[in-house]
Amino acid sequence: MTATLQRASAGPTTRRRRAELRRLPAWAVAAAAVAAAVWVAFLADGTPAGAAVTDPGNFVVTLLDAVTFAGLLFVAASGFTLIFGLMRTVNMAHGSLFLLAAYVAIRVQEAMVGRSRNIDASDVGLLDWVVPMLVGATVAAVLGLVIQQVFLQWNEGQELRQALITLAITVVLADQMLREFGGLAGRMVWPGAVTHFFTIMGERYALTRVFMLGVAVLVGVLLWLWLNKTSLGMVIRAGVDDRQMVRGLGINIKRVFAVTFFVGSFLAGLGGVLGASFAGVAPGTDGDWLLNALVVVIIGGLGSIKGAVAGSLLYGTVVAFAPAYLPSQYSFYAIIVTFALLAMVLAVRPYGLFGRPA
Amino acid sequence: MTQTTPAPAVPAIADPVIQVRSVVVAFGGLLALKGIDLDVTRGERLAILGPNGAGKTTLFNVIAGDITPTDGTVAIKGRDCTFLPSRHRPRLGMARTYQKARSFDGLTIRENIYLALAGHRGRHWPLWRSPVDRRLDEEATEVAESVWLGDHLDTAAGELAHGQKRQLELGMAIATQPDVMLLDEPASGLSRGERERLVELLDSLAGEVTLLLIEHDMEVAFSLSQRVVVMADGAMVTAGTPEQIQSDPDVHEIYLGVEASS
Repeated sequence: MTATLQRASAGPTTRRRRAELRRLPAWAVAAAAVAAAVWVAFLADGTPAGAAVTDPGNFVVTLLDAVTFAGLLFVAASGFTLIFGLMRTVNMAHGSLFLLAAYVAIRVQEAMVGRSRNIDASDVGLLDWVVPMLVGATVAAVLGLVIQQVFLQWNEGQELRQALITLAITVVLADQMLREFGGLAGRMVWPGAVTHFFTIMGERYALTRVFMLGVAVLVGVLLWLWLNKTSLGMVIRAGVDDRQMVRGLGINIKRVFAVTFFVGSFLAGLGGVLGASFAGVAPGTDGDWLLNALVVVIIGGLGSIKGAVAGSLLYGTVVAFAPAYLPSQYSFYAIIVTFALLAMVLAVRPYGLFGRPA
Repeated sequence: MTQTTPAPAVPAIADPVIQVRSVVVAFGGLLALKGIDLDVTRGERLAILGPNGAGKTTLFNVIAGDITPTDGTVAIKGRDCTFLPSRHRPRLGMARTYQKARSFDGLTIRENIYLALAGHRGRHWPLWRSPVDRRLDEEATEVAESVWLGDHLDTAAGELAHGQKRQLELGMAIATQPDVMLLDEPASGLSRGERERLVELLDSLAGEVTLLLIEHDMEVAFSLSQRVVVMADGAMVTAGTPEQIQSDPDVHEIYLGVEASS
């Protein structure tokens, strides 16, 4: 009678089955990475860029392309992963918020400069870029908050329903933006102060791209400080681990959800403004950037900021290097390399580099 | 056999901290609790026993506010809390632990306990850390030392061994200085030495702290409690002092039945 009772169930069986997912051995991926590096360094004659040892300038430029594009990817994906990490909501409207912020920022910039077309960089002061950026991102943040409060809040825990709702919102927003902003491509103009070229290894390189990377790094540092050095950040990290227990500690997690959604949408908007300055936006850009954000977080692991950094860098590297270092007649197939990367990462780490099973 | 034994009448007691009245919980067609009445006095040490699936954890979840009962009422300190969400419980002086040791794995031990303190006092909004937070940090350190985790303050909770996780969980519950503690199987998965420590720790709690625990380990349950309630199939079977329960033939039957089938 005083003996300890045997527990009837031996433990969670689902966990065990998950652990048995078949994985590609890591050495296969390492071998692929080494092969790619050797190819780029020595063998890539006959490609648009040429082997790195014979043409180091092209290599450096491609590397800069990779890192700066990764910065943009990080800004766009970090909000997505932040929202997912805490609320397990796959916010399919992330791309719409990206595009909306871009359009709004373009409008505001036009109003501030006082011209609606052919804005020259020399007319754009730093404020004429920063203020539209903040306005655009804030509009996206407020809209995101409204979406969360009106549509998602009462569907907490119903991931599929939330994904479908946000997908529907994407369709509605895309139509409304087409009506309001038209079907032509729009472009934000970088401030004149950074619209220069500098020379590196004998190659000219646009300072605006480096500026974009700087903004991304600043965003990353602020995000890190917020999550790691403030009490609210601590609550959010705790919520990623166990929402029910956060509630049990007496914390109103619904309000924390609202703040997180606001910040996540703000980051989407920030990404949109950077993207509009970098490459311009048009109808359809929302879908492209939802896909980009998805690729980054699938590589890095859903819900992990560290993963968003790693995913952005890897994805950015592949996007920049594939067209430059594939043999010239195959440059069109560069996109395939992206999906090869995705497949390899998932084969080795099914939850992404820094992801954990939900 | 549960049908033949009527639920024991609840004696009228003075100063009840928890009053559960004919609580029914249905999960779809499954009746997890079939009308539970339970009164707990201030300072009482009550253990809830019963085989798996008896509804012990469900009853806990109802008291802690994680589940709203299908029928019946729950009052804490005389206040009707049937529909009060779980996040308001800490302010009523209630803390709980979970059946599976739960902690915030990505946070350090200090942060885990800090958060328990901050949540209790509503100190989780400010952007900047102030002297108040520093005091909370110091308090967290003291609590960590009281549950023998003082050497692991900056270790991530995810890296702790199971027994240490239990200690952390208990620390987080104790940190807010609750007067009602709900402990769901605090000794499960602990070694013998760790169990003795646990009993020692719980024994050292102030006398006015009300303690409810679900426990499979009878030694722990009987040594800590003054009253034992036995549940089976969502109903209360019997209640009494540890000595009465130990000699109750019905209890033997419930447990032997379970052991034979597992």
